[in-house]
Amino acid sequence: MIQISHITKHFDAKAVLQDINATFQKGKVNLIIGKSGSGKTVLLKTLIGLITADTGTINYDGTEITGKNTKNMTQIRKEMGVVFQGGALFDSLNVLDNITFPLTLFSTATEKEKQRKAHSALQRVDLRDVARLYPSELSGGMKKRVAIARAIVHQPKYLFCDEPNSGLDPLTATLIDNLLSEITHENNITAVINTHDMNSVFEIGEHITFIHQGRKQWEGNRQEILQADDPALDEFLFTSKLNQTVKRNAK
Amino acid sequence: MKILENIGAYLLFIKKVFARPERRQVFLRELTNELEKLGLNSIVLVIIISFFIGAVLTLQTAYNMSNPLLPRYLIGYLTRETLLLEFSSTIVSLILAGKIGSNIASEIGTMRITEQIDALEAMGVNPVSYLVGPKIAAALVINPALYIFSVLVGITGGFIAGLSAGSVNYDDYINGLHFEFNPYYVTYSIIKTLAFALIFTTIPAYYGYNTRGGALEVGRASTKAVVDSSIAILVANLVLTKILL
Ligand SMILES: Nc1ncnc2c1ncn2[C@@H]1O[C@H](COP(=O)(O)OP(=O)(O)OP(=O)(O)O)[C@@H](O)[C@H]1O
Ligand SMILES: [Mg+2]
Repeated sequence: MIQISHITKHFDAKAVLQDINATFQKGKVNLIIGKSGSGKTVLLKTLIGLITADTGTINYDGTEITGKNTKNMTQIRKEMGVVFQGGALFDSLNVLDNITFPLTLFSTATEKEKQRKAHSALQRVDLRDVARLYPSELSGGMKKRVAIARAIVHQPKYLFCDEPNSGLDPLTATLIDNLLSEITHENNITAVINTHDMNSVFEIGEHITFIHQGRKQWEGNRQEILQADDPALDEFLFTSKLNQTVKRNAK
Repeated sequence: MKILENIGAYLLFIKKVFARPERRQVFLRELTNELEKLGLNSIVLVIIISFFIGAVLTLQTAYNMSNPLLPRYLIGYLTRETLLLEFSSTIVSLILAGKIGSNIASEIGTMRITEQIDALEAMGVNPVSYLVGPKIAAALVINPALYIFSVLVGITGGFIAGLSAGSVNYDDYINGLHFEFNPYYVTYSIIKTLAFALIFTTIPAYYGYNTRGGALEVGRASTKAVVDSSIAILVANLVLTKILL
């Protein structure tokens, strides 16, 4: 479980995150949703310690990582996997080396052992025959999968994904969503996933935090979201005719 | 003011390179990659440039020494001195600042905007020492080697051009090469090539690392990196020459 309280972040004079309190639960898919520019990526990067918050605390299962406790982050990094918005695969390394990278850093496994783990991670994300390819030779969806494989290869306790299915066709997007959801439950991971995709919300969203203009506007689960009476959330979720019908029927 | 701020930020950046070395296994793998990349990237260019400049130096010197009172071995001597003292260290480094410098800036800049640097940091890697350390180490090895190589190729170029144009004969040229050879000039030049190697790796790395935005900014960082490293090389050349000679 990850708890954040009173997280605030400014870039120059611009307030990007304002007094955010939230809890991300263990063994569940925790979604952060919000419009483009609402601050999802900044929040995620603050969570994983890439951006330092102006104020507030972040707590990983009782371990504080903010303020004087940045050293704790070093330990937690070994237990965390991150999938960035564009995949962020290392261009200079092939798929196999990308995936074994965290193992080289975090474990003393032999080369053979690392390769075995990498291949099983690739299998987990349903990819075959790509180990020797370079990121530039992969399609968008394949890159996302490799990025997921790299994020899970060292069996992390925490998994963070920044829009893992953006820019993919609906079918592939759903596959990736389900994959992430399965991995979360199989390994009892605390997963935090950024998305602005309605389908993800209803497919896999177990705990949902809605960010609007840098503030937490709403939180709840996917059943509750249909009943919610929040104008900003409504505007974000139910702008299309199809989604409006979904909501009417739910009520 | 802005310049001072930049220099301050640059020095802090350099400090980070040496802050926390990565696992040796990782460092060695990256160093091998960089040696290969840097070597392959520059060797052909250095051969071509050194050969032609060596050739032209010899022909020009011969042309300017039509006075029969001047000994002909001066042709080989002056070609050697020019290559040894200035061309193969400073000019070759300037050219490498253009080629390798823009490579480094755009490589690291692209890694920045595609969040590869964030990914490294998220895995607990110090991205500055991981990315820049091996590049510096590789350049410190390669640049002095390229210097020696360039001198040899340049002298060969001058030899071939001079002989085939009939501007100098074999014995004169070889005598010239041996005439008043001062080994300290080589030491002086190698010290310069080490300093230049530091400049044309770290300044572009700094600009690449601090890129924000998109592809356009990567291009801009790369241009700035080349201009600033070239200026820095020229200034360092002056300072080192004043100190060392
Ligand atoms: N390094 C930075 N410096 C200045 N402003 C920033 C920086 N990073 C983000 N911002 C600003 O913070 C705001 C939130 O950005 P963020 O990337 O978190 O949005 P997002 O919700 O992830 O959007 P998207 O869905 O498009 O990815 C934006 O207005 C952005 O301009
Ligand atoms: Mg984002």
